[in-house]
Amino acid sequence: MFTLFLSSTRATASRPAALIFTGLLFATSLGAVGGLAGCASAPAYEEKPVTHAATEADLAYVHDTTPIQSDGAILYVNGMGCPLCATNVDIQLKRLRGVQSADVNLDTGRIVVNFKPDGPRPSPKQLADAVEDSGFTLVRVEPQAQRADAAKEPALATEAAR
Amino acid sequence: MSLSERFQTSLVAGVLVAGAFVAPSSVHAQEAMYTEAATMPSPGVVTVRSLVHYSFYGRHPVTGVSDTRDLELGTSVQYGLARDWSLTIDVPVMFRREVIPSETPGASSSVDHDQGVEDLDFTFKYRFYKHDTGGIDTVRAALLLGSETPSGDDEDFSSQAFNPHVGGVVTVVRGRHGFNQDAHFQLNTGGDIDHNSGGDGPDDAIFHNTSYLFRISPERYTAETKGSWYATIELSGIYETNGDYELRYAPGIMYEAWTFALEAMVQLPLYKDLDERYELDLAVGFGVRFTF
Repeated sequence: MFTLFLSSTRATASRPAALIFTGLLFATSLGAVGGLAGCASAPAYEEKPVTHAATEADLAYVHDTTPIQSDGAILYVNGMGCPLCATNVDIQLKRLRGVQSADVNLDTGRIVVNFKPDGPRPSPKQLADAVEDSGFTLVRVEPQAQRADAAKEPALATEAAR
Repeated sequence: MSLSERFQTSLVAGVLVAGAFVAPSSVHAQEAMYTEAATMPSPGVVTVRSLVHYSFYGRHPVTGVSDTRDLELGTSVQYGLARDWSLTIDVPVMFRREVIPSETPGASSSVDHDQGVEDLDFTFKYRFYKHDTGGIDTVRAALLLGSETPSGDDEDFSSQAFNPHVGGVVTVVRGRHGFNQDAHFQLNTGGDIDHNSGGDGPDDAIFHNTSYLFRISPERYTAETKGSWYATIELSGIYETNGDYELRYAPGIMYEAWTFALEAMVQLPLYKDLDERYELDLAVGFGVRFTF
């Protein structure tokens, strides 16, 4: 179809070079990506959509201004579609007083937030504002009784996939 | 242009490009090279993006100038004013080579080299709709309002006028698929037909861009995901109230890591009905974004 359109436009000396470049661009990208990610051997499947549901109690808690009395929290976030988006929300959460680290998992749409042991505790509302400022939607907050470090995330991901 | 002016322009270009590499920034994604996205940096955060375009144009139907080549170094700085508001400032530095036909029959053509700063552009973006329907999925819409302003450069590059523009953009992300559609109307109060490569002339213009991004890798995000590859395709149209219309398409690729992104594309003409401006033959573009 593009060829038909192109043939109706004025012929130029640079068009063949452009078409060759276009083809090489795509071939290179597909080849590089296939090689890097092992796409050729990966099973073909549609991405399982992650949708976080929330009860009315969950939504009410997201707007709670009481500091969270635990060492960390898991945030269930909608709308995070890319690695750079994750970096943005990571920056906003770390700006909050009392937040020590924020580990974003795009697969599960969850963020594990650890609080500083001797620092102030943010409230669910503050966490929600940071996520909303980043352009996403915080659906649910789960306080963690123990510090939720990165090593525990695979188990949490399994739980979330249920 | 004098030697000192050339030096100053080169210095400005160098500083702008260098600034794109070192300025602290945060970036937003799902945005191809030409099409806007209904995304923005969060409050107090700055996004810096550097784009390089090398464009080949055919004969100008009015002036007869042929074989124009433009190297544009564009720096875009976007600042998050509030949760749903941002301000973008574009500074395009241009290096141009063009073949000027002789007015004397039989005499050879001359080649002219010029460089300068095109109109600066200020655009406010207001995101008035956001509906995150899933961990990845989202629908967003934003209004665009701004103006081109004189850069102080000569008439080869700056319109020497304020050219306000208004428009909007919609972004939809569904799993591995991203879609952006923007359109805006520009009221041109200045402009020069001799150097119009699309929307830069004295006639008002309507721009529309459509982009589709397909995440080719990874098929599915994992906890170990370090970056994503996207195949992109864009369709860009420029209509001027003098009746000129041009449709271009641009396939490309983009790689996004956690702290940077790289993009490349080729833009080609798809349809053109032009009587008063340059005809694009080919454009090649590269872009880089950093966050830290």
